[in-house]
Amino acid sequence: MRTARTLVMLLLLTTLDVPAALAAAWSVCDGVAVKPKYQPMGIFWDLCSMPDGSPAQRAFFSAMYEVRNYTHSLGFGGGYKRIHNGQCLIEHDNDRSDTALVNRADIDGALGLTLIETDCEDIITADVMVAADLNFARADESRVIRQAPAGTTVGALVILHEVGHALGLEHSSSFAVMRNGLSARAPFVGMSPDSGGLSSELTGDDVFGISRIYGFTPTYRNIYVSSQTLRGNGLIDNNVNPLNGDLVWSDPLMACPGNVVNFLATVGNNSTTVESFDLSVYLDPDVNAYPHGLADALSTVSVSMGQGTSSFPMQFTVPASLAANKTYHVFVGTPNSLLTDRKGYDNSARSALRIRRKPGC
Amino acid sequence: MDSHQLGVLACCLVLVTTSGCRHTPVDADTGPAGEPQRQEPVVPAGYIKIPPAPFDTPNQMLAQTAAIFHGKLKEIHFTYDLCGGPRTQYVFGDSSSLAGVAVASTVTLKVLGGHTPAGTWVSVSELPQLALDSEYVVFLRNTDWTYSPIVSNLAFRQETVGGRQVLVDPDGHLVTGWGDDGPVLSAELVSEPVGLHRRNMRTVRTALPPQSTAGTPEPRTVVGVAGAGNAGQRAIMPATAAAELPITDEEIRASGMFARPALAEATMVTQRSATTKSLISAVTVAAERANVRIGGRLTLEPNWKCWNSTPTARR
Repeated sequence: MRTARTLVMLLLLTTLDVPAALAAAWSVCDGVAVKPKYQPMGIFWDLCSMPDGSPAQRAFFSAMYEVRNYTHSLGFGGGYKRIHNGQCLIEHDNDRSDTALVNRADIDGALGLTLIETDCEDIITADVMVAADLNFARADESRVIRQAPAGTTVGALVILHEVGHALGLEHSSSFAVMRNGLSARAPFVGMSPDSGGLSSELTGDDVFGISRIYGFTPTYRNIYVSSQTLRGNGLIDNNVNPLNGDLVWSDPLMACPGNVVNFLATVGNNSTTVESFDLSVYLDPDVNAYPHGLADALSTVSVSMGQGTSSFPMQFTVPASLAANKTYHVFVGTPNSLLTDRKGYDNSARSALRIRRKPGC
Repeated sequence: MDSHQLGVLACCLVLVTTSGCRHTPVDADTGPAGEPQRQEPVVPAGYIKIPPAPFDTPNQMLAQTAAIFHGKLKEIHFTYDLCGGPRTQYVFGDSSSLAGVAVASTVTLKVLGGHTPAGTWVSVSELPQLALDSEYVVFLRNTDWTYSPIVSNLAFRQETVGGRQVLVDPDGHLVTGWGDDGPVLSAELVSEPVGLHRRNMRTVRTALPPQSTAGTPEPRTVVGVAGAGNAGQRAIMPATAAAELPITDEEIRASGMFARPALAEATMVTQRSATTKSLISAVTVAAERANVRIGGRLTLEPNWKCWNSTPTARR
């Protein structure tokens, strides 16, 4: 049985050369990219709103470590409390860069804002403020966040976006953390739940921008998988049929063994090295079933891509082993360990597509 | 000190130097007890502030919109005062309201960002810069605010290309309509954002004159050459009316910070775009359908809080 499935899988093996558009932006003053003057620029964190051990502090550290995978231009300043007549606050007219959670009303209702003080091409300070009513836990990467009322798990992504501004990045229209977070939304990537990752990390487009600002060739080799896709100027979930005008599949999709299902897969590459790897589809009723090995793959494609993020149609056949009365999550992931890949825990993502055996078949 | 004490001291030193200093909080800065109250914006007696609210749905955007107006950005001024901070004042002429409450023929938007007395420049990450000599369609707030009177960056540059009127969003996309997420934008960029490429404006430093026993001290402006002099020095200015920083119109234009970016006209040929009229029509229909009224109090002053500090949330 396994031999037969492997044979079918090999027959489905296709090689895709996927191009990716890069659109990162940054400001230039007198011909020089705007970036921190004294590097690393220490960023302090407010212990009133981000106490030790809190999810928000963890999300901030996660963002800083993520940035420091590529550039050491930002550093950890320290935790502090500035209390004025019983009220914790951060000050903007001083010489320190701070991060804090604040009430949305104090940042004009935005999810986040960064106040940046520059002297032409030099960033002197950057104060990062993020809406305190967000949730800073690991996000559900299978869904694009379209609205962010209080409690929405998008805090880690907002922190990383604002820290990106502190680095000197401006908004991008590509598949990037630096997408304008208002109507355009920003993407998540998949992350194994036991990894400590929060489903928010810099994409190839963000790293492209950082490398242009700081003048280096990105050598940190990392492949990632996402369940979100750029369509037009918007992000969509990948539970669509690309062969039928991106028609959204019903949830769960009722299917019989032998049915062929088309949807979208998204992968990215942070470095400029062209990477070649396999990408597989697998099903599991467990929401946290990452990653799977090659033996579980329903279909596999071989991908070759340079820096950036790309989406392409993916197809699989519903297996006869699909149990009745169970809803299966569709995962996309790299089935093999890549020796050059720095973060193995972002190589699988649970998609918005769920599938269930149709009664009577 | 005997050898035992030395050993203990050595152990303590080793512990101190290896105990993960990076995440250890620095000493809490609690400030002196009984500090004077921090400044608040001066508002008319009886004025009730309306807090700005989230705007991640179109209904939230429209519910916070007092007026949608059309105008031409004719002048830019920079001001600074302790409460308002560095402000870029966008002065629109020939203004008229397209929806909501009426606006005056001259509308001034006092957006946070600009020169500080120390000669540095403050910018706010999510706020766009606007292009001089350009026509705009702008959604204005009916809530109070600190950073910008524009709702959710809804400030669209009205351009005419090949006789066709188009609207360009602050990131450089064409506006094609109004939908479930607010403005619907083209996939392709047709323009850069305003202000990505700039040339250094001369540094403007403002300082108080020597203390006088009579009268209200007026800010004294010192114009210096970039990179020279008292870099990093922070001057103190009175908290009264905003002082206008004397930067000439020519200098503002020469800086490139507010220059209208070129349009990728070839890209635009195949792209559909909303016109001002069709956008307003779509917005009005959406507001009616959602039972949201565009209107309320037009708030053109930054009355929510002073710029120089932000209370943090207790967790």
